[in-house]
Amino acid sequence: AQEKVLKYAHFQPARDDQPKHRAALAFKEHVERATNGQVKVQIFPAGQFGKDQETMEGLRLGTLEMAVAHDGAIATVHKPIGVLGIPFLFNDHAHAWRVYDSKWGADFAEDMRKKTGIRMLALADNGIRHFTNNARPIRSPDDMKGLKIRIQPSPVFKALVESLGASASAIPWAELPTALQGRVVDGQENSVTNILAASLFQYQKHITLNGHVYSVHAYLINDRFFAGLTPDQQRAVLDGAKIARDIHRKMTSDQDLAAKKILSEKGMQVTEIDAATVAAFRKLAQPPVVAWANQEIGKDYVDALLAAVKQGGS
Amino acid sequence: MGLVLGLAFVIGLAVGLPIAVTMGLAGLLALVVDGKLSLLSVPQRFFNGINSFALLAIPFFILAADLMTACGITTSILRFTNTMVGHIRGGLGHVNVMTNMIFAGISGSALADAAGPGAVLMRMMQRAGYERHYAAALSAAAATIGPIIPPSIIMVIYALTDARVTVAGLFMAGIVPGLMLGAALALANHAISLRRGYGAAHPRMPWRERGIAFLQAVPALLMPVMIIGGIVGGVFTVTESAAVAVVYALLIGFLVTRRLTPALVYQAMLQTGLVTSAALLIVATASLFAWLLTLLQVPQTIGAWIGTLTTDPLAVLFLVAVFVLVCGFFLDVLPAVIVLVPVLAPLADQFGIDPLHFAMTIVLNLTIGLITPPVGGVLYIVASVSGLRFERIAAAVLPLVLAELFVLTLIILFPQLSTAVPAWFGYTR
Amino acid sequence: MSPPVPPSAARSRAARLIGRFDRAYMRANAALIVAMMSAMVALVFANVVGRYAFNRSLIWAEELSQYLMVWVTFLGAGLALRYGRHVAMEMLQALLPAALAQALRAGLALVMVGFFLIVAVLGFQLAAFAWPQETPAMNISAGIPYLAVPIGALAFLLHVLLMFGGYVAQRYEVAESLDPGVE
Ligand code: NA
Ligand code: NA
Repeated sequence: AQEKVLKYAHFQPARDDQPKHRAALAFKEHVERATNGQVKVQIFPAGQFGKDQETMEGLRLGTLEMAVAHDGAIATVHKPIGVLGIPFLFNDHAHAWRVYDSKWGADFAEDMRKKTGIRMLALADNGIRHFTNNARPIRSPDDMKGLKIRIQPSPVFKALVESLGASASAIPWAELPTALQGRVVDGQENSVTNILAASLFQYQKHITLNGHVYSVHAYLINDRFFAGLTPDQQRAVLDGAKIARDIHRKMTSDQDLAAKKILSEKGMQVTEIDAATVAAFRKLAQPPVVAWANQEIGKDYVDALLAAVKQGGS
Repeated sequence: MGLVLGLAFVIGLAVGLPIAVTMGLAGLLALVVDGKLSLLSVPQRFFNGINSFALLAIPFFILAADLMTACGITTSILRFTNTMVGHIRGGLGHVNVMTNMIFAGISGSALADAAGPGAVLMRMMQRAGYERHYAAALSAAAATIGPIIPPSIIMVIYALTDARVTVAGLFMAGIVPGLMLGAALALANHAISLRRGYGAAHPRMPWRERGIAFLQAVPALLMPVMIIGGIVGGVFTVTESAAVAVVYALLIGFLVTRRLTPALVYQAMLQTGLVTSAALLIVATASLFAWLLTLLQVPQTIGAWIGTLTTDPLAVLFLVAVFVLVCGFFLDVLPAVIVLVPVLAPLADQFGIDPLHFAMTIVLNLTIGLITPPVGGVLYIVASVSGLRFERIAAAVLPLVLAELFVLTLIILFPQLSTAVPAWFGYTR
Repeated sequence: MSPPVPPSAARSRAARLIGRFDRAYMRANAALIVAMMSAMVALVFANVVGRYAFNRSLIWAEELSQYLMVWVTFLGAGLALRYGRHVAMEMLQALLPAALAQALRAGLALVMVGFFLIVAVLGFQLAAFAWPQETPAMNISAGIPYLAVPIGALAFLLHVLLMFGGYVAQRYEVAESLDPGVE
C-alpha cells in the first residue's frame, strides 16, 4: 500500500521541555511503529505551518492533516469552544479531565466534526491561568480594581477582566514581554507554562494562584484524512493521540501543581487564596461571562457544559 | 514540487518579472504540479504572511521619515553635520556618513536614505570635485547604515519570521554595529581622500555656529531619542512608537517648521502607501515560497547537513555568513529575510548561539547585499539618481564593501557588540 | 438618427473615454490608499492615548488596523506598478535589442494578467470558504478581510491593462518630490 504522510503542526518551540513537542514526538513514534511506517508523521513545531486561523483553515481544507491548537485558535473556526473560557469551572485537574473525557466531550467533538470537518481526538491542558502583575499582591477581587491587564484579543477575556474592575488591553503575545517590561500594562494572565516560555517572571513581581481558567489544547485531525485511513491505521492514530494526551496532561499539570515552587524560585511573590476567596472571584466573574456565552455562543452549549461540570465534580 | 519552485523562481527573476510576482507565481506553479495541497493556500498565505500587527511599524516608520523630509529635515541635519565634520580631510564624505547616521535614527529603509539624503549629498560631493562614481558609491554605502541603526524595516520583518527575537531587542542590538559601520566608512573615506587629495569643505567652524546649527537640527535629533526612549522606557510598543513618530512629524511640520501642507501630507501618505504595498507584496508572496520550503523540509535538511560539517558555533556563524553573503548577491533583502531566516534561525538553537547575535549577523550581512552586484537595490537607486553606469558604481563601492565586511567579521567574532546593549535594557531570553 | 461616426474619430473618442476613466480610477485608488493609511495611524495612536488618558483601549483597533494594512498592500499593488515601485531584475532586458526587450515586457505584462486572474479566482474561493468563520476581535466574517486578496488582484489586473503600453515602454508615473531641497 502507499505510504501516507501526516503533517502535524503545533505552536511550541521544538524543545524537549515543551509538553506539546514531547507529546508530538511520542505520537510520531507510536503511529509510525504501529503502522509499520505506512503512516509517516512530519512535525511542524513553533507555528512553522502558520498562525492560529491559518492552521485551523489548513485542517478544514486538508492542507494539514493534524494539529494541536489552543482554544483561541479553535474559536476562529468553531466558536463554541469559547464555553471553556467560562471562569472558575473546575475544582482541580481530575475534575477537568473527567469532564473532557465524558459524554460532553464526545458530543462536543461530534458537533464540531459535523460543522467543520475537523475531528477532535482529545483535550489536554494548556495550563491553569492566573493573574500576574507588577503593582501589588492580589489577595481579593478588590485588589484587581484599576489594574491594566493584558489579554489576548478575545471578548471572553475582556468580559472576565472587566467584571473584576480591571481594564483590559489587547496586546499581541509577541509584544507582551516588551509591554510588561515597559509597564505599558500592569499585568497579564497566563499559565505557568506560558510564563516560563516567555520568561514573563522577569517583568512581573506578583502572581496570585487564582486559577480562573483551565485553558485547553485540542488534538485535531482532518476528518476526511482520518476516514481514508484503514481501521488499523485509525486505531494507531487514536492510540497515539491518547498517549500524547496523557504525556501532555502530565507535564502541564506537574508544572501547574508546582507553580508556587517554580515561580518563587524565579523571584516572583506568589499569593495563594483560599476556597472562600475563589468563591468570591467566581461570584463576580462567572455571571457576566456566562451571560456573554449564552448570547454569543448559545445557551445549549453553556448548559451542556455546566451540567457536565456539575456531574464531574461529584 | 521543489524543482518547479526553483526553476520558476530563477526564470522569473532572470526575465525581469517583478520579484513579488515571481515568488507568488513560482509558489502557485509548484502547488499545481504537486497537486496534493489545496490551491487556496496561495491567497491564504499571501494574506497571512502580512497579517501581523508588528508589520504596521513599516508603513508608520516610512511615513514618519517622509513627513520629516517634507519638513525640510534633511537640510537641517546636513547643515549641522557640515559644521561638525566638514573641515576634516574628505570633509563632504564625512558629512555624508554622519548625515546618514543621524537620518538612520529616523528612517527604517536604506532605499529611502539613498533616494533622500544620499542623493543630495552625492550631488554636493560631485559639485565639490569628488570623483563622480566615488561620490555615488559613498552615498550608497552610507545608506546601508539606515537599517542597522534603529528603526529598521528589515529588523521588523526578521522578528516576524523568528520568534526567538523581538523587534525591540533587535533595535537595541543594532545600535553598536550601526555606529561601527559609520566609523568604518568614515575611516575608509579618510584613507581614500588622503590618496586622492580630497580636501576639507571649509575651515573649522566656531562653536557658536555649530551650536546654532545644532539647535536647528534639534527636532530631527529628538525623533530617534523619542522612539528609542519610548520603547526602552516602555511608554509604548514598537508599532505604537512608529505611530507616535508619525504624529510627532506632523506636529513638527505644521507647528515648528510650518512647511507641511495638507497636500504634502496627502502626497506623503500616498507615496508611503505605495512603497509599503510594494514591500509587503514581496513579503506576502515570499511567505508562500518560504512556506513551501518548510513543507519540503528544506530547513531541517540544511540544519542536519551543517551539523555534519561542524559543531563549533563560530564556524557555523562563518559558514552561515558566507552562504548569506552569496545569497545577498542575487536576492533582494526582503525576500531573502523571509526565505532564509526560517531556514537558518533554528541553527542558533542547535549550536547554542545567542539568537540576537545570530540575527544581527544576518541582518548586517543582507544589508551589505544591498550594495553588492548584480542585485543591489541601493546601487540601482544611486545609479538611476546619478545617471552613472551601474557597473562603474559597483566597482567604486568595492573598497567600502570591504570596510563593511570587516565590521561584519568583528560582529561575528564578538557577540557582545550585538548583545551588550539589549542585555543592558533587559532584552534577553 | 445620427450620422455615422468615422472609425478614427470613434477610436479617439474611445481613447479619450478610457483616458478619463483611467485618471478617475487612479485618483479613486489613491484616495482610498490615503484614507486607509490615515485610519491606521489614527487607530494605533488613539490606542496609545486611550491607554494613558482614559485607562482603556479599543480591543478591535489592533485587528482593524492590521486588516487595513493588508488592504493597503493589495489595493496599492497595481497603483505601485504605475509608479514603477515593484523591484525587478531588468538586466536581461537591458542587454536585448529594443524590439525584443519590448516583446519580452509585453509577455511579462500578460503573465501578470494571468497570474492575478488566477489569484482573484482563488481569493474569492478562499473568502467564500472562510465566510462562516469569525475574526477574533471584531467578530465579523473572516471572509471580509480575505476579500483584500481577490479585489486587490482585480484592481492590479485593471491597472496592467490600462498601462499596458506604458509598462512595455517602461514609462511610469512620477511622484512629486517631498523634499523642499537644500537652498
Ligand atoms: Na534606521
Ligand atoms: Na546584492
